[in-house]
Amino acid sequence: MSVMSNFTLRSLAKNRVRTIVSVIGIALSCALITAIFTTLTSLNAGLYQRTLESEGSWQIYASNVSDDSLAALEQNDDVADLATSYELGSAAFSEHEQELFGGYLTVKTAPFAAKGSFDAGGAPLTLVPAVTEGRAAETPDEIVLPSMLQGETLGETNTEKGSNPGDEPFDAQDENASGPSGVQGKNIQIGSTVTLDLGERVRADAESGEDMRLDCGTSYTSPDDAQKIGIPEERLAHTQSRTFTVVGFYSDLGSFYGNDFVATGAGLIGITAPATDAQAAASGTQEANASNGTGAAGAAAIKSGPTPIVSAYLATQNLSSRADLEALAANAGLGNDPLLHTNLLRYQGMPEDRAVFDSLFIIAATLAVVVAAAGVSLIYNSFSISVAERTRQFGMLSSIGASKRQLRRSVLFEALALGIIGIPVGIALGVVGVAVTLHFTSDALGSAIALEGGIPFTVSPAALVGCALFSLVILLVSAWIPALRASRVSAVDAIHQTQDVRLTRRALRRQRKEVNEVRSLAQQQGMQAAYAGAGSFALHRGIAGRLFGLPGVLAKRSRERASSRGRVVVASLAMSMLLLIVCGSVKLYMDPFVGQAKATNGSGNDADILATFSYNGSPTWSLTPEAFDSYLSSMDNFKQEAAKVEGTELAGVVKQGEAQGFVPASMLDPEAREVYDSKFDTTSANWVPSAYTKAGDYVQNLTTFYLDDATFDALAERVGVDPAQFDDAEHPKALGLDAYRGQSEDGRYLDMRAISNTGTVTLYDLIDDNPDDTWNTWGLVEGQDGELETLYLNTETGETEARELPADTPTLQVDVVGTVSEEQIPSSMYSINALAHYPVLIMPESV
Amino acid sequence: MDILTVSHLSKIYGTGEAATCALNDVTLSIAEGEFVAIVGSSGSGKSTLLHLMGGVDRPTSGTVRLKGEDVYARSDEQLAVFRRREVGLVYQFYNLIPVLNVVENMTLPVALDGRQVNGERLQWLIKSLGLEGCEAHLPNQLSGGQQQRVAIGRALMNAPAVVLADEPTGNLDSRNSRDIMALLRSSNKQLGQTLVVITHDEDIALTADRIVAIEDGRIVRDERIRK
Repeated sequence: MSVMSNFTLRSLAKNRVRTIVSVIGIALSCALITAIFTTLTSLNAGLYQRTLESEGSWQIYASNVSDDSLAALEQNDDVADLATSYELGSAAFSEHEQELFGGYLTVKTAPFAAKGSFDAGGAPLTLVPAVTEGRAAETPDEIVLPSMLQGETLGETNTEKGSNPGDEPFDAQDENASGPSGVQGKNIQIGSTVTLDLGERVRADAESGEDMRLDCGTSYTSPDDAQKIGIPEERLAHTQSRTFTVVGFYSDLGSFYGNDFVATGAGLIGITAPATDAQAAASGTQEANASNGTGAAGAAAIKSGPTPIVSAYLATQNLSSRADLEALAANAGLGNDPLLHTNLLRYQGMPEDRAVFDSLFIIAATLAVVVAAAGVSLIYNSFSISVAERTRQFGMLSSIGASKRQLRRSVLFEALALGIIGIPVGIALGVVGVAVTLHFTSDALGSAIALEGGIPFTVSPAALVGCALFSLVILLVSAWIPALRASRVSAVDAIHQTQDVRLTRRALRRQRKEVNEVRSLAQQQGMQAAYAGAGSFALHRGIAGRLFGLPGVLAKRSRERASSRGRVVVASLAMSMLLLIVCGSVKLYMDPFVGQAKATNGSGNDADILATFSYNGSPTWSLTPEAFDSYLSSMDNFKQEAAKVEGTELAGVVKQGEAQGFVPASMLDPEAREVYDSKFDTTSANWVPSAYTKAGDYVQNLTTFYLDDATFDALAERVGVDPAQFDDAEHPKALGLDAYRGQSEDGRYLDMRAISNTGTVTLYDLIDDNPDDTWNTWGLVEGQDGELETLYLNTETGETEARELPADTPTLQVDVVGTVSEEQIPSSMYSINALAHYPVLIMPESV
Repeated sequence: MDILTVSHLSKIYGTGEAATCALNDVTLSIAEGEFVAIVGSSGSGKSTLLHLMGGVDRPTSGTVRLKGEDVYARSDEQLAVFRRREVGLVYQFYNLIPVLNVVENMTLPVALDGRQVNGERLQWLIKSLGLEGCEAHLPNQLSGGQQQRVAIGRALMNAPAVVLADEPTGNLDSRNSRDIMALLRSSNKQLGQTLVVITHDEDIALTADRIVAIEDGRIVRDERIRK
């Protein structure tokens, strides 16, 4: 060990307290950085695990895989695991069955491994719906059907009602229109049989006229619809009747990426088993195109009839980018668009666009930078003091021949020596800290991001090495300036033990100025220069002096002259403030999102369950009074039913409506108009005449919320308005929404203002002058001469036209007697965000 | 033969109004094996002269040549090497490194140079300096006289071309002062060590071969009192 290292270590040992403090500082910085990245890797692992569990471990999915492609995939060394499933064919439901179930019952085999294993690493390549009753199919003659078919009777022979009492009665419809059914089965239960006329779905290509094969991912288009949109009808080809024994029912997995067992828009799926090799051999015959040794088992299930469509799921090894995967798919001839498992690849470090990855990384990096900044300031401070304490020793060493480089290295060596202890300790602390934190909060955090198993504690060795290196860099950066300072110590000063203050240029200038002023003062008053010192204090007390008198002046001078140390202290204080502000603002910015997340997932403070009723059958302008009543009664039904459930308490009711209205400019915040004007591009095709009149009054849509009386009264009291005055039905009163968080045109969330003053709003019930034509009322606008007009929209052409507002238009005057801000209203009303920039009135339900 | 030549050496500290001229156009030659005492009042510039001769500071103008080579033509790194090999410095306050023991302090210039310590020379020095039994002591376990001996040992360890001592006895009682001066003088007499000692003690100055008096940064007297 060199003498300088020896010297450094001895100094460290001697200044034990400072050494320990430094090690703690380094360890803490390193621990925080480690914690940040370990949390990130754990989060990533959790999300990865969730994706594996909910979507399978496949990386590439392709449908319509040719045998050549399948063979190519099996021989490709980069393909680790490969599973295939066969779409054997589809049987058409009868026309009215189609209304319930969709176009077809399609039969698929459960996926099975064609290479590698199906559930390598504990996660299946793809998910198969769980059998809820009975068991999975084990032979090609068995089938598992969706549970919604349980108890149904299907097929053209059906003239009775479905045995399931909840079913719509088929026979209520015209029997002639029902058409034939390719699905036969009576009161389908476990053990019963279904006979399916399985065929290939084909449609003639509009141009070439050649038949194109459709798989169950293609929506069913009924003959009527096909005619309407002008495409050839689809039909079944090569049909063959097959009978299956029902052995179980499954519940739907739901729709997600790569779920091959949902035929959204095409109907239902029955799952059968692929034939084993033995069964294939026994059956003897195989479709010519079904196999050349590959995929034999599945293909063998088919003796004749429709050609199966092969789907392949595969997981790769050795590949590290989406481009590699795409190349593999292309080389295997997997057609135009094999699906890449984007959700999974994202967590395997192969993100599609880097947005999510980057934003996570940026959050982590920002935190790391903040920690690094704090760490640098702490370590820098510690080293500055260390170097300052040993200035004399550095000077002595310099005088007896230590070079600048040796001195600089000794400080950097000191940093390394501290780091050798501090960094491993810090990494251990960080890892243990995250482990402990996750142990206690994993479930809560996990449920926040929909991870059922919580966030698994995961340590990535590479990330730890990265953290260690990052900490080392922080350490060396922090020690660099003190090291330079050590190497610049003047031997002469050190030897003389001078603690002379060195003045900065600014201080020197001021000193000269003071001298001149004192001189002139002395001249004026005929004083001797000897008294000038006292005068100097009197002249230049500054703020510190005025506040704290002579001690203040001395403190200020002392700080100015020992400038570097003063700067360190100031920098440390600034850093502390910065940390506080960063923490504070992170919380501040996260708060509204937390609130919104609460509301959207229905677990807001107000309610655990949020039921939403909306009338969406046809355009709102055709809402008949009858339809409206039934809509209201369904809501009442729900309320009554909900009240029956034990432990349920109705938290409140919010009804939402829209009306055309007129809001005087005096009630509006000037900001509101600016925002509205900036939001709509008047040159775009969707441009709507401004909702503001020339005078600044608002005309157009108003959103009205009706709160149940209890909730409303509580709200009124909260904003300091007497709830009693709202009871007057003759003169309806309302609260107006003022402050809310809206989205600006560039997508940023901003605090905005709307109705900021009380006043009277006029609501108009626009009556369509001719309900039967294609022109429908759309809203209020201001006419050429400033009068209000009804705006009509042609629903077919999209044209708009303003017509005179009939004199007998029903109107309603509502007095807005108070304003509320978004934070004061129940969280279930957060949805008003979506109505950005329409004025919002809030009224009690009963009035 | 002159081992150390100082010509037209000036040193100004500070700039502008605050500038102080510590050394003003000093020219001086010191022969090999010579024992020179530099005397002068406080602030006369004698320490500045010593530092400039030892390569510790850089002059404002003028040159210092040791063994014919221009000391300040060297880079900072080369100057550091020069200090550890060619010069032995002894200070009033010993300037030992508190965390290193006696042997480590003495061998510091050799160690800084990355060379192997000459064990024989070390033993001989320890013995001549009367430091036997204190080898592993830290400086704060030694008396002032012992500390100064360690400092002298450190200065002599590399057999430098010149030993420069700045008030080596300024912090010692008279008995220790006599011992220290005796040690220095014997190194001069027996080893032919060139020796420059700053002092304001007349008695010490009178034991030198030559006395150089400095006042206000200038040599006011240069007197050879002994051949």
